[in-house]
Amino acid sequence: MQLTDTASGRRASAVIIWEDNERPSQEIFFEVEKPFSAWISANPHAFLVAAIIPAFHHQEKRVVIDADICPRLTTGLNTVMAWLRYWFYDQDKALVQIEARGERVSPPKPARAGLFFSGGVDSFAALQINRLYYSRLHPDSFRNVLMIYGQNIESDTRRETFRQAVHMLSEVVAEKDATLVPVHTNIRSLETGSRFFLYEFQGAIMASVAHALAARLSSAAIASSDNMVGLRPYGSHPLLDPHYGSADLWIDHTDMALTRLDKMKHLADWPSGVQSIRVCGANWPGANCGHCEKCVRTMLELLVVGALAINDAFPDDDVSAELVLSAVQIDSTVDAYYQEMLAPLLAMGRSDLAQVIQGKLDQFVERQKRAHSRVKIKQLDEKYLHGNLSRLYRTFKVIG
Amino acid sequence: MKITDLKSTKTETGKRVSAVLQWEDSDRPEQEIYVATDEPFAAHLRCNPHTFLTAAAIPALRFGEQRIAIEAEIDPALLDGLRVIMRLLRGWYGRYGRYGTDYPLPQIESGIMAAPEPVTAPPKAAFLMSGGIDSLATLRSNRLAFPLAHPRAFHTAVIIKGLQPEVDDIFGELFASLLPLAAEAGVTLMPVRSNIRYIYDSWPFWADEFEAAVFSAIIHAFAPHISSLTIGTTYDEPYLHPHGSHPLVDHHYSSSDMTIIHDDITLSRLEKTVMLADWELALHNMRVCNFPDNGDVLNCGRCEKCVRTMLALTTLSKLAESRAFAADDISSDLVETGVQLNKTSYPFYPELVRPLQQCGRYDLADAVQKKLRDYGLEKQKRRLKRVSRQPLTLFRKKVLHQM
Repeated sequence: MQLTDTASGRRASAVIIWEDNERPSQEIFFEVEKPFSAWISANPHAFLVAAIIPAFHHQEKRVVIDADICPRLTTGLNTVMAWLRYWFYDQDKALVQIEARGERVSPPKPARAGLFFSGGVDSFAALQINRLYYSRLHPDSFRNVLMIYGQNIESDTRRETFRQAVHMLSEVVAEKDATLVPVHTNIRSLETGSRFFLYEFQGAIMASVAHALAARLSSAAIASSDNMVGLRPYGSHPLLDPHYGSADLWIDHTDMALTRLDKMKHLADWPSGVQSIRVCGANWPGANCGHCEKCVRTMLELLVVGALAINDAFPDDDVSAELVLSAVQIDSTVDAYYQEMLAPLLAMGRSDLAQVIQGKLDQFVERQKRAHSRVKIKQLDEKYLHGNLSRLYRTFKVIG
Repeated sequence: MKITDLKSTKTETGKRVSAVLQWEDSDRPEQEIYVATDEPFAAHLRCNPHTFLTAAAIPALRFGEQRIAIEAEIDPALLDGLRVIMRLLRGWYGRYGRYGTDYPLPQIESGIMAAPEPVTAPPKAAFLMSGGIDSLATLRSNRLAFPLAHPRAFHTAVIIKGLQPEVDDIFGELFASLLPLAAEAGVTLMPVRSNIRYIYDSWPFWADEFEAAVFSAIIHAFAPHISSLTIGTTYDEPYLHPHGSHPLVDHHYSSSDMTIIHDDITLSRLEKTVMLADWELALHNMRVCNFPDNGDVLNCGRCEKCVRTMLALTTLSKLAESRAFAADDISSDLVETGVQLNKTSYPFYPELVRPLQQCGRYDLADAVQKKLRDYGLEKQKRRLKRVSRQPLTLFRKKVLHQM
């Protein structure tokens, strides 16, 4: 673990050596630009949090780190692994043993709250809601927002795009008296799979970045993606994220009581915020394409709260039924978002859009029913017919 | 609902803080709720509005109050948390008809605290001590994981009188039995009395919705002297279900000067018992029984909870050694008569079967397996009954209704 000054700022890095996998050693790092050099430290917690989930995924027996670790973090990481095992793995899978030099007891430090910020609806709304309810003197009032470069490798990864987004978003959050801190990291190189990132790793990546900045931060909030009613196993989750905290750095999972539309209503009261949202999966943090599922969904939400026509964040100021028909594919990760839009769309006289969405939701429910029936039949076949029905089906399929 | 008359009074033995709940939309009488403690701890008891708001929020939701008004400044973190919990409970129990999806949530009308007073004293962590397996294991695991200088290392064990009448009757004996244990573990045993649990005296309400609110309300009265409260989980992660104390719920009762923690989610009941088996004082002083009647012995030895614990101790060859139970052994007949499985007790039994077989107690393993099978069959029967009614219900809804 070391801290080095670079041409553009300061970098904390460590080398990961795999013991039970034939994977090459990897240097992982966190880097901030010069104005924020004092923020970063080679905090062992950051590297432990970064490494533990890939190590668990790849069945490493242990993570050894020559440093003192807060026992709250150690017990928390065990809890996170137990949840991931329960959700995604064989129940006999061993948890990774954490072998640290000793136990860290951190002295108290001044409160400074941060918020992870992507420029999307969740994080923009989290900042807006925090300003509504918390006085600026309160320890949970967000003073900084943290934007990560290197996490979303499926999107636009050009540094120039990130730089432009940081410049634009810094000005917007400054209106709310918050400072944007860009952080570069390559933690995702430990395991690059998209599914692994989404369902297991994303909370750990954000938490590790927060730990790297623990010299200044006392807490970091991750804005909830899902409303509590639609909670499902996911890499950032209220049952996981707080367990990445230590005694000197709390990790919070915020706003899980709010639906996506609730958040959009709050955001609509912040005109420059709503003008600056960046949601497009392929182009993030660049301009929104206006025709992918996420863009169209966000445009529909803006339409519902009356903020689409005045919005420059999207190329069009209205949504057509044809666009919804061609762009929207509903699955279990987004159905709740569309469900809550139906009534408001009807109420505002956009039955054309409501009908298309309802049709898409009906198709999704049918697909789910069929999938559920298949699973039930398979279970009954395995339980009572020893899988013979499946074998028979496969035989006929081959013959056919 | 209005929360009024917040006050502190000196009592013969210590101090008491109280407030009055005035129901506005529900036909319920005015209630005075209180938290009290004895003299050595009285200095730390504060008439904290957070206590009374936390106590009132869930009953107000249950009885359809439109608002909860309190003339005090409340920490925005707690306000936010209470809103989350009320929405969560509505979401969980809506499907059982207790709350509809449109069921209105009470609006909290209060001042908003700009910033909590700065705390200069070092943080002091507390946990709930009932003498049961969960709380003793919470203490044990805390001592094993945290060095004493760590802010999460327990300083105070809170023991509450006012949660269950049968246990309240033996509160003195229970307190005395836990004193040596607390001394050995290096924690201060703090007795607290409260009637918050009885704002609505219903066991399902307590278990499903209210449990963590009561604990949190009580401990808020000791902020900032105490900085955190750990509630040991009852269920480990495979068996989590909507419950009044739950990892999605409990921490939302926190404020800036009091953190509520739901802990030990990775430990099953048997794993907790294993953790306690070599701690002699815990082995002799564990109190799991809700119906103690045996004079010197803390546990009746016949009820479901006693039998469950005796089975776990049998797998560890510790039952004969434990003075917490009068019997040195357990028979399959006792399993047959003492164990009644339901959705809350079922999760503790599957893990007992293999260890009972491994220690040669096939009679007990068979008795437990029979109970599990019977419960499974009972569930299947109920399910079949429900499914068989479905076509009729559909017919009624779709055909008869249209006619």
